[in-house]
Amino acid sequence: MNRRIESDLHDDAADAVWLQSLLHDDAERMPYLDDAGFSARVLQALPPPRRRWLEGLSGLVIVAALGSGLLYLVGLLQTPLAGMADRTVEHFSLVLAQPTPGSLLSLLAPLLALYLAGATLLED
Amino acid sequence: MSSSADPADAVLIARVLAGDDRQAFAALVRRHQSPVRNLLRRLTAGQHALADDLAQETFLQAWRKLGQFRADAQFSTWLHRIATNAYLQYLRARRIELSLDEIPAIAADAVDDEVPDADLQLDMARAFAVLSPAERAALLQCYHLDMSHEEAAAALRCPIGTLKSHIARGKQKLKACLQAWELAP
Repeated sequence: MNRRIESDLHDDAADAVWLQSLLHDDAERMPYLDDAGFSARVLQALPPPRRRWLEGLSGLVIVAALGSGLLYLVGLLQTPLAGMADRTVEHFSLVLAQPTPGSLLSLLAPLLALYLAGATLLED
Repeated sequence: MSSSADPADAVLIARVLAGDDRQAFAALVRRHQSPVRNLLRRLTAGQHALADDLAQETFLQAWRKLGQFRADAQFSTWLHRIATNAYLQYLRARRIELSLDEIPAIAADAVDDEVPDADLQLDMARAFAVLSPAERAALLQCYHLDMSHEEAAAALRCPIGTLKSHIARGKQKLKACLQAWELAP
């Protein structure tokens, strides 16, 4: 049994030498294949060239459209937002000038709500 | 074939990436088409038309993925990896399992008679045609592409033990087919 295994191992080692040498010879002697139109076929199958100027123009149009839309929205909201800010500052000034428990609560309650919402978001 | 006057692969690749340069890519294809087509001819057991279709798919994939090519590797090694994957995808698409032991007939045009050492090439082509796809792929990765067993197993996406058994069985079959060469000087 052991002799059989030794014999097999010996055969495997011998195989490895001549067969591996043959495989390496085969790899090294692979013939050079003439192109014969192969490269041209590959180039024909490539996707059409990108038109960079068209991509650039499309980008410019998109940025211009987004910018115009943003400016329009800002214009729409500018007056109401400015009025709201004025009223808030006026309200805070009045409350701080003549503080009462009710008026302080109306000032602190929204701030507390904002703080709690912010803290919850940060924890998440 | 490239000469010392030709720009290096890295230069051509940079030109393709920088400006969609098709002439640079054509130069890469011309330079590497022969080894890639030879590899695929062996993998497909000498089916030249199929091998050329897979070689074309290999270069198209190389065009699409060129941005992923890492400059520290050899471009030829990267192409051979893509070619092997193209062959594996072809087998999978036809539900041919890598473990199957089907014996395809050798194609009539499998060997170029006009090349030197055509006898060895002919016998080797016949012997490779007897192997299963998995055995062919395993032997080619290790002996033609000089990959280690680990690299070949990774390229063929199989465990290293499976790869080794494919190689052992492949060698047994090659030995039976190529016995005349054992005694040759």
